[in-house]
Amino acid sequence: MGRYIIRRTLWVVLLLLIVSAVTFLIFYLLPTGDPAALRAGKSPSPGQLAAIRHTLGLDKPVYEQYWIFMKKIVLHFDFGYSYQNSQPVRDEIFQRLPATASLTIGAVVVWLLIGLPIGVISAIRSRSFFDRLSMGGALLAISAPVYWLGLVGLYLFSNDIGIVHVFDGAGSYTPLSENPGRWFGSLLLPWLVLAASFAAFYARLLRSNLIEVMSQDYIRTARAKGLPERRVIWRHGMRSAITPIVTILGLDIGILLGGAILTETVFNIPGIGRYAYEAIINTDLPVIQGTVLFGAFFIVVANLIVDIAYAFLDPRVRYS
Amino acid sequence: MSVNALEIQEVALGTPEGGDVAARSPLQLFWRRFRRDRVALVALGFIVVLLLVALAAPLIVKALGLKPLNSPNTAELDSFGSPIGPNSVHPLGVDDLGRDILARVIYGARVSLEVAFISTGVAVLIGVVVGTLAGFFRGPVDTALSRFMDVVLAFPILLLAIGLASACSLGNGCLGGLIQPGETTLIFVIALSSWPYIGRIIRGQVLSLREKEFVEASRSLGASNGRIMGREILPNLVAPIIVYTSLILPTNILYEAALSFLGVGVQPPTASWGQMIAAASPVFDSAWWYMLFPGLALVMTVLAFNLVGDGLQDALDPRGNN
Amino acid sequence: MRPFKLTSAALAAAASVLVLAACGGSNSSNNSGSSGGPSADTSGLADVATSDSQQKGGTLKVVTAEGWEHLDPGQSYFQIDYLVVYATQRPLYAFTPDSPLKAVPDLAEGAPQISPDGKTVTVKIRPDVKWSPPLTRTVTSDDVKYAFERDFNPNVPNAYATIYYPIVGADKSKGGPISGIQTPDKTTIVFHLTKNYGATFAQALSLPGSAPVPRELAVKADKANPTKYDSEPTKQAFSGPYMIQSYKSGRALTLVRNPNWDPKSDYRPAYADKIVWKAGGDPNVLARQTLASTDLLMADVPPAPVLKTAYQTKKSQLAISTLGNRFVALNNSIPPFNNVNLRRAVVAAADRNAYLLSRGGKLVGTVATHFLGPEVSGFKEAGSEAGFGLDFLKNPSGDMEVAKKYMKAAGYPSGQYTGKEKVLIVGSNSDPGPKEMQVVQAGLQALGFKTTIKAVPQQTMYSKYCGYVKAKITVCPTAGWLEDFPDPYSYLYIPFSGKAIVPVNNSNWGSVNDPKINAAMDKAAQVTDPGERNKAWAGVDKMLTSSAVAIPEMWSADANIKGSVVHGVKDAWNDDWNLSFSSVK
Repeated sequence: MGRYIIRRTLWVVLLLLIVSAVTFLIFYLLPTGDPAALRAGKSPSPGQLAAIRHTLGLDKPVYEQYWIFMKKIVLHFDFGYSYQNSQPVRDEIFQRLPATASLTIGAVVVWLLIGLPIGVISAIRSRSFFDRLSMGGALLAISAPVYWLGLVGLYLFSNDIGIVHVFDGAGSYTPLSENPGRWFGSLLLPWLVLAASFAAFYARLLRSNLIEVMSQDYIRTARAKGLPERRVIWRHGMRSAITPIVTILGLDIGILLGGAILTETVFNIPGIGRYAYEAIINTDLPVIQGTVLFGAFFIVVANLIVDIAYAFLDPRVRYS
Repeated sequence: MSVNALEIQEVALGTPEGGDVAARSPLQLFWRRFRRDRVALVALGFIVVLLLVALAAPLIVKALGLKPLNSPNTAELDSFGSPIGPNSVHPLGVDDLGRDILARVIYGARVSLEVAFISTGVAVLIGVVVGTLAGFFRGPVDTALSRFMDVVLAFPILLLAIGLASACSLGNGCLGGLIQPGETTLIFVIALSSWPYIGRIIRGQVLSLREKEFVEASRSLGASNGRIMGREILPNLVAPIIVYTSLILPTNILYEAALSFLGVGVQPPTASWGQMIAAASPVFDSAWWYMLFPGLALVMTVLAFNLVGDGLQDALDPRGNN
Repeated sequence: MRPFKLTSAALAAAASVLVLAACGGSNSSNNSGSSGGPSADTSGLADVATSDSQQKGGTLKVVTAEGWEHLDPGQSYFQIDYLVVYATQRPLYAFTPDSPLKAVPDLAEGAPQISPDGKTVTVKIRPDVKWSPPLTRTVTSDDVKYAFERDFNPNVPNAYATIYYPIVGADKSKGGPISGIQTPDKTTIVFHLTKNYGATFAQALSLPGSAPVPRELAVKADKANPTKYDSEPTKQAFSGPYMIQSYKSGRALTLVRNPNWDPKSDYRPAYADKIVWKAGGDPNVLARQTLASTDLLMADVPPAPVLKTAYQTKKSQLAISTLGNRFVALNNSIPPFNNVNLRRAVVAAADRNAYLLSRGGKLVGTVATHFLGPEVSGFKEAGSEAGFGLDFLKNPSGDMEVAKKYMKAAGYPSGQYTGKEKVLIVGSNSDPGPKEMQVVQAGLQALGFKTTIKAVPQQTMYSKYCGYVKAKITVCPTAGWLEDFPDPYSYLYIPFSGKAIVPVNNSNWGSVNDPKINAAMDKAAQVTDPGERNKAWAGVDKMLTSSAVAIPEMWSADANIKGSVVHGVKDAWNDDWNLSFSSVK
């Protein structure tokens, strides 16, 4: 087991190196903006431009720039400075992490609370009116754009510009450490909006898994032994139906921790997704590089955790 | 446009348990079962109609007398530059440049379907080839290809897509001019980020297929690797390919809309649903028709593809019908 | 000299642009125009002038969709950064809400002394201005000297170096001493210039690049790349009424009173005790929140649809004034638009009214008939709204007959372009960029040009296309120009003088390089007498307009909105709120 974990961890490190190199190539070789021009003011003289290019190290060959970039990250965990506003990228990302984490974790709780019960009921009462209604609604929820859902939510239900004043409006995000009550209130609507399509998806997935599991032979055996249906469903059915969902949950959390771009923007939550998107708009290369790496980090670490968890559950995995 | 819809579909496809597909079902049986699903049939009908409308867009728009399609028409704007609503000349109203929304929604279907079909086709093709090779040869080939898929999957996909799309819209495009700005870029970016899902699934299928008796039998008869893959394995992959294609298609429609919505899609004045929704969102409370109709077109199309996908899955996996 | 900056919220597809408001009495023009475009009724709009009823105290609340870029006075060059810098730092001179067209002394004690040959400018500074704690010492002329030195330090990249370039010795400076700047005593600073540029240089002393920076703090900070004076703005020394207490880039900013600030030494009333600013979010949502509030000031431009709502339902919370212009840059140096008659034909065919409507109609500006805008001196001399009476600018919706006439003169007798040049139109991909490009495309297509549109992010447009001379872009329709100070030089020189062309970050997007026009600008820049100066620049404007160097689309109007109670006061030159003049009540 130990060797398996070490092997996987080394692969994760290599994976991140590759991701960083590819990002570097995409954004530096196919640059959407000249970093020196972005740093310089309007109408700089060629001399000024050359001086800035030199201080940014842009006059060096690409591989050397990449080497310097990686050296700073590895030795000092230094991701450089934003071209746009001179702020250190690492500190900015860390300052934004709590907001993104709050959004993600809250949304996960919401979608599990909504999605799982609906999935179970739909599976047990398969083809019932409830099943058809909730599965139809789920398909719709999956097809609805989150950005649009968020705006409609604000225009209808926010306590400043809404028709009915129910939820705190955009820009009300308060860190948990400052005021837990307001933190909760400000994130309630974003959680619901972000969770909507996830809840729908998890409900659908759990339903189909459960239906499939319940038709397996060992379930029939359990039933034949005269176990109560409730016990059959919870002890035998749910256990295997939920395993793949746990896997997906891990991966989803990894992806969302890299930033929920649209939700963060609509609700003005100062998280990593909004930071990354603004960086792309402004071709702020150090920030793009930093946020992509962070996003990739969460994704591969989530993968790693899921893989290791699987290896514990199913020893065959280790040797495959 | 919903990013999380993309993410979840992607994630779901990535898991080996994402849907157990009975590879044994013969296609005829499968079609007979599918026909019994009325909802899926209606959805399929909708898609067929949509395809016809998209193909015949110029004729339909002309026949209905809908104009203008692309050129600005300030006569239909008020002094604040706001569009006017539906009337007898413009059944769905006009957009923020005074152009007919129905005409643009019809033309938008072209972009949407074209990008979704081609990118899905390319993704499936690459995914099937890579997945089959990895699963069939195992060993170093499998390691190399699987690791490659891991790398692609490790990227925060939407960020990468926005970055690539804006980089490829520069100058002569990407890959030495092969990827031109506009639709080609969209297709490239979408295909690039969706093929590994297909690849992983196909690899898993092939891994189990290659151990089956009929493959062993064929091998013992001295069949070449190419022959085994082409004659024995590929036919058994048809069903899962159909199902996963039907799952990835609606995702890619949303993907195209999301990228157009973010301003890195097709270039104006070409109409696209995502870009129409983006342009409409600031005025959506005063010009509801502008947001509503392209949005409806998008949601209905995605829904139809999802319903057909569900139907296909049920038909291939009869246990789900119990 | 600032190009307009769109808000980055392309997501919301809402960014509109800056412009402004001729209201509240501080601004003289009322753009009801003979130019033919629709015009807004300005009665009942918010009063954004200073008032005797304003009261001290309380917390001023500001919101923006966009975050700050640089709060270092030597680097800030962005409309909303200026709100902070002019409340925390004191440049030598300033244009104020009460004196929008004539700079008043700020750190300086009186008007600048310009030598008769225009090559020496001497400024006396106030002896009674103190730095904020912990520095707490008197501001000296050496602090101003260092501010200029660091303008040329590559770790402090900024737009001011270009403007201050004619200082003797500046061309060799990398941040060290500059021979052309002398400080004979603690309150005197003398600038020696390489040419007769004093009249214009004196105007440029109103920019934040001239605000003092203490050597003992900044020399060390400026050794870092980028300088820590910018990345850690709370550690700056402040000369203005407010200090930056906390700063979270792109998210939040708090200003508190500077205890060492002496109201007797300053023209700023500094009403609020505290200023709290939240940045980020969807501009539509922010604008609606502001309209629904009592106490919010929104410092970036609300999206056009919200403007319409404000105009129709909450007019007293809306302010409009004019600032800057928008034009479609046509590349004058390459075919096909190196042909003057072809350019005139394109101007004639352009539907400038549609362009205005694509940006939000009558609340965002008026259709322009020439380049100089209503808020700068020289506008009247250039014929005000009516302009120079040129036939190809007569009809705001375009005139195909006139266009045909000029097509013929250009050598296309059919009235249709038959040459083989293809026209590439490049512009911003955030709203309303794509709309503007489509409007311009329609005009060009009507004349038979084969056109392609390329929509790219705003920054990419400037750095890789329109501002990158080698890219040779034919048409750049989404550019706009916002002067640094309300002087016609600042309005016309950079975008239209051939001498202002630089290879990268070029702001003469059309590569306009006409020796006659260049010479006329150089001459006009030397004129000191205000009346003569205005006439000279109006003459330049006429040359530019009649040779159709670009399509003058509109004089922009910049709208701002506020809560129902807060008293916002606007700076006409920056076309945004002035935080030292606005008050909670």
